[in-house]
Amino acid sequence: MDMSGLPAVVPSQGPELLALYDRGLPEVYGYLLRRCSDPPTAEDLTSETFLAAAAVVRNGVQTEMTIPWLIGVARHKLVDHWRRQERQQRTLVLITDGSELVEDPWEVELDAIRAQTVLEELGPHHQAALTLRYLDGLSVPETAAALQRTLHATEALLVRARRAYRHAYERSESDD
Amino acid sequence: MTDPLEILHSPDRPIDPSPGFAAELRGRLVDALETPPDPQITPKGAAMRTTAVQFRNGHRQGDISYISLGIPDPARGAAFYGALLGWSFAPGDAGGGQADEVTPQIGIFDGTRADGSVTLGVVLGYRVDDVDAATLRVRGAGGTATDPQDRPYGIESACADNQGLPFYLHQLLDAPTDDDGDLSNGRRHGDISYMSLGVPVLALAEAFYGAVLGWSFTPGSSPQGRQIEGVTPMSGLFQTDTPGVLLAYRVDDIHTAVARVGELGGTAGPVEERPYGLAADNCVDDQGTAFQLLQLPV
Repeated sequence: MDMSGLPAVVPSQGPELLALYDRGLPEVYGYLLRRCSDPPTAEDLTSETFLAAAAVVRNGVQTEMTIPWLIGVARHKLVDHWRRQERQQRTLVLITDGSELVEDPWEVELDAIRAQTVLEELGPHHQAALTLRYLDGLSVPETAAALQRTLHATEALLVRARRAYRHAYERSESDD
Repeated sequence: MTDPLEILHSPDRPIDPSPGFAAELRGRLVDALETPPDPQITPKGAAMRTTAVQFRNGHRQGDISYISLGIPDPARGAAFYGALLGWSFAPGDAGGGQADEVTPQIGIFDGTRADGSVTLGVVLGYRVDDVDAATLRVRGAGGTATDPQDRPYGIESACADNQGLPFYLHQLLDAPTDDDGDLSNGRRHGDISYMSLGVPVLALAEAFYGAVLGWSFTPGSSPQGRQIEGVTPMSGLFQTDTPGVLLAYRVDDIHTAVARVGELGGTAGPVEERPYGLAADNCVDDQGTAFQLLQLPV
């Protein structure tokens, strides 16, 4: 599409975003599909990502239009998605004394395919923490920032998530 | 000790979503960025007059819902096609009219577009399930589409494809009436038996119509041609320097029809035997509109 004739009211980065869309759509969709494993959800989150990017452009916020920037927007949408899921599935919140946060060492070599499948079976809050920490390779402080939790709360969440993951993984092995 | 969960960290790979989704989202993005529609492309066709949707208006998304035939003198055009193909007309714009009993339904008009320019020849309407979503796909795939308008027969958007070829989208009000006949090559004398869509660049058209209408393609008889799968009437896509739509009309007796074309002031190519029947290519009506004739086995 020839964008040269756009009037001045169109944000200056609009054409740049469309070009980024053409280049980056498979990257964003691939990122999201791997993390939610459900094409309709991945499509919804992809739409939310690009429409959020359009809103940024429309609001005149000058941004460096890159694929890593888009992935960052997609990550926010993913966290929102898990948060929505968590709200829908929330049934019980345990009050703990912190003793559960002591982790047993787990020395094992995981099977890569099973490892991914088990992750998808976890509850949304555990899935969110482990996905950001391990799939995305974020540090614990970065994971905390993405989840909008304190560092301490995120560390605790990661311990619980790893434990839930280990139980699920071992259960999946014994089911075979 | 390494964390066993580190195994989850592996590079992501790009995955293409479905072309329809990609085009629709691109259209939403274009809208969100307030890209104005191209004011140049606002074709105005012979308005479909029926409010009762028939089997003649297509069944599935991507079927041809209506044909607008722009002819300089519509009244003379109606006389020509009436005499040649037995079409009878309900009153229409500018001396033309709608041939209700033809499949798909066809209307003759003077080719005047909304912006006052004149487009002669065929402009097709395509049936879609959701015209709002379809216009987004059009814009996303590099075409233009007016915002959908309510019409007596449904909701319509005037569009142009990514190479400037005008067309319409129709979301019709009713489901088509039952008809168990095979309409892929028309059924009666005067029906449309084949549609050829000529485009400047084949690959661009495949990408556009695949995304917008869900068409899929198989190789055609030449490297520059494609058969469009599962569309009614049967249709093909071909690359040409003179883009546009060429219709093949079904006739009962092609030799009589060819002679009749001449009597009516037009010209017709020689009758040739083809695997599917008898064909006369390179026919032109008395005002310069090209067409083909086909006689198919009964």
